[in-house]
Amino acid sequence: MEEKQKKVLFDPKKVTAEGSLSILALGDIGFDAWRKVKIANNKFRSNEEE
Amino acid sequence: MKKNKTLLIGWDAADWDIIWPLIAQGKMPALKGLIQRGVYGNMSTMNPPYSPMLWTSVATGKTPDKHGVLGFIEVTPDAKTVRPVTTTSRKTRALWNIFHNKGLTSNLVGWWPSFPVEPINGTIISDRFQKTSRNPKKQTPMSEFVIHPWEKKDDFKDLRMFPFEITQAHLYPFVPRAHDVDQEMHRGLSAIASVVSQNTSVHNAATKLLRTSEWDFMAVYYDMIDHFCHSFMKYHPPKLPGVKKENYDIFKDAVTGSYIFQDMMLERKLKLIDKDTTVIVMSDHGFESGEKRILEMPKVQAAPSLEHRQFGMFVAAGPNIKENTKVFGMGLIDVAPTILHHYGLPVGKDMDGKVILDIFKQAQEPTYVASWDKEPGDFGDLKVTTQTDALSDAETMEQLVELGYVEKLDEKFEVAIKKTRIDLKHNLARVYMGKKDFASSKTLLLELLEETPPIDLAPYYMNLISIAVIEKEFILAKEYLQKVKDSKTEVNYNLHLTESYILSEIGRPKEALAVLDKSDIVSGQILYKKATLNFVMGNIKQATHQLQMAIEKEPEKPNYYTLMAEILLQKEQYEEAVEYALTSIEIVKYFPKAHLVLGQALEKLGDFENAKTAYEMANSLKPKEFHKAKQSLDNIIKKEALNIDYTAEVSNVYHENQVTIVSGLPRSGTSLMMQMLDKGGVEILQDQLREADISNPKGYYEYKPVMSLYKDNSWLSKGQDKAIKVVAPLLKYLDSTLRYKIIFMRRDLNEIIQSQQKMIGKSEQEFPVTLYNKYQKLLANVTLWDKSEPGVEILYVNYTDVLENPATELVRIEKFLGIAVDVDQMINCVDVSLYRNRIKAKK
Repeated sequence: MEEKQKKVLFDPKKVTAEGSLSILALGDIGFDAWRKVKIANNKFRSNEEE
Repeated sequence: MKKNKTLLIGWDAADWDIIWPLIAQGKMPALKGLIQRGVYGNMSTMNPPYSPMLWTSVATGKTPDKHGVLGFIEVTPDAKTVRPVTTTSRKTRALWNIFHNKGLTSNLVGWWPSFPVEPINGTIISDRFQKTSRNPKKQTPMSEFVIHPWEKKDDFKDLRMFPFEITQAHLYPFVPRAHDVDQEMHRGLSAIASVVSQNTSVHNAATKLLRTSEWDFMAVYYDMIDHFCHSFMKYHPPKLPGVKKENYDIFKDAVTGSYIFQDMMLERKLKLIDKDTTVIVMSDHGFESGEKRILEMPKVQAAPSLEHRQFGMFVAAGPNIKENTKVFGMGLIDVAPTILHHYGLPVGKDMDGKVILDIFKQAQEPTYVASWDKEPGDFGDLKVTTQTDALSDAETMEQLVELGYVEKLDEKFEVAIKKTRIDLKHNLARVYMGKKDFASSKTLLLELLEETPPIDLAPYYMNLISIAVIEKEFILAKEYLQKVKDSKTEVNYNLHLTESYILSEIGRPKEALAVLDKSDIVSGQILYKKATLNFVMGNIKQATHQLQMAIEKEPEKPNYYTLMAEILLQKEQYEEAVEYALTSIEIVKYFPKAHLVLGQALEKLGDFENAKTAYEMANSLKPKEFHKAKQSLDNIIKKEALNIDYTAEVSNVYHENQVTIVSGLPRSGTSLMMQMLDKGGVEILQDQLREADISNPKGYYEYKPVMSLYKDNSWLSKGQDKAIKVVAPLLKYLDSTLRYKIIFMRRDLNEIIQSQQKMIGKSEQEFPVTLYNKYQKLLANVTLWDKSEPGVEILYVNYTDVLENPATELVRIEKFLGIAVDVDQMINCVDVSLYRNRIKAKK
């Protein structure tokens, strides 16, 4: 199973909070990475607003 | 590596008409790759084309009357309310139950319906997993019936995407001008958010399972394309006249966007499977994308399904699947038997589908079991639950209402329950119609007619008209038609087409054509019907023109090509007829008539071997024997055995139980010929009700049931090895299951008409020109009809020749019938003194 993950050409650093269909098409891994970035971004924004 | 591992991917409503252009533009590379290394073709749907019914047929290989899923919603077991359809409606085992019994592991994601989950080997992420509310504050927690095994809930609970999470970046590929949408006026963006988030949830669960679990069979269902099509197909290019330019410009890319996104998801899944996994991508029906697109939905049950097209798509690739090969004649009912066979498991004899052997490189003979439902053992069957509340689902119901599949529930639940029961009963009646079980269908439809307003009875009457016509109950059909005309139905049925259909079936093609001329709509169906009527009346030129226009409008209709092949056959353009018949077969392989016409054209070209194959195929495709195909095959075999020229129209061979018919126009000498056969030793089928008179001093030799041959021809077997008199206009109503030798009497038309005028007491000097023209056409039509009836052989006999040279003519007749007759006795019948109306000028 591990091997299958390695096949994916996917750089989490390039995921933006806006997301993209390409990231969603990657399925659970892409979705999870995007959500993490989104949540982090939301926290950052709410901290800024405070 | 597991043997025969299969990934089945469902794309609801995916249609080749959209896919091929996208592949050509390089926008669906994953599907293109699968096609190149696999098989592809049309996937034929069933009626009514409601997705929960269809996907359950995919999973069970059975029709809805057997599997029990009959619509989008169901009445709860306690009969207190209704809810979106659940697994509890299914009353037969699905693929995953059979695999469970055989120790195989299945993963199921989003299948419709798969909620509540069944306790099988493997994982089920049911169709309720992805259904979430648009309101972040109104989320219903997932119940234990959503995921199996429930212990895995933590692995999946965070994989659900919510509509409010959709960003502009997700929307722009579908709607590049999303920022121009007035969301107060158009709910398009909200619909996209809902569909994309739900399908992403399904995809997330599927990829998670593909990455992290061991499995033998996996099925994933996506409704994205279907939902995009229902919302945006009206804006898809080319622009329809009734669509606002502003909306068209904004939403024209939405449908293709959904296909492209689906292909991106496919690419990902293909990367997560082993190269030895067999992959199937299929849809349950297609979707109208041409001029038949509906802008204003009629108010009928599950109205959006009217946009569904008969043919969906099918692609399969894998180690034992043929490469880059088009396959024909697949139906969604065949998928389950084919998959079982792929795993080396027997197919249930009670399944309605069959194994599609054509897709396999190395095809084995299928094995069978009486019924998987009767097999003992653990099948991971659903433990029946009566917890109504736990299975109710506001989110799904809300979505079904929004899509228009389900009416907004009446506040009074008893009204909703009654309406649901009525709709499900009607769906079942339609399923029976599709299976040609007209008796069962009629029983249900007649029960439905007992319903009172506000229930619209018109749809039931429309179904009853179809059945009445098939059962040749034409008076009843007309009565039902009148009921629809008198009803206050809001549905805009094309009653011209229905009326025309009835008229043509009762042998009034001219009136049928006149009715169609009144129709404002010029659809492919109407053009086809007009072409059929013109063809029947011998107006070949008009028929060809109308059929060409019908094909232009609806190029996917196999019956249009078959009719064109028939016309070309009549025009003796045999090579072109072969082309059209083959095109028809390419669209639907299981179309017996197309194979018959193909055989007839090949036979005319002298290609007996292929003609035989075509006839055999035609015969094998009919549930009961296809007599025309069998007769054609017999004709070839006899011609070959007797070394008869293949172009010969008559074989001069006696066919067992043949019926001898004497025909012609009235006063063409048919009674004389009957008298001759009688004296010659041929048994006559007659009732002697009509006595001899001055017009026919030696009797008429008639049989009363002949007069109503158009509505009842079941008695014709009484005429086997006998002779019957049948006037020319009624020949086309002969029962095509029997063999006929027709002696067709020809006489100068002027003489015939004069004789008739005299018989009915009219002046012989007033020549009825219209009647003359009608008779001429009728005679031409008999010749055309003869060419398309393999069970019929016609010998044309001139009345004058019989009188002037009876011996020669009777030898021809004896040879034609293939039986010994007493020629001397027959000659004695000729009494030239009765030949009173011969034109003097001719003498």
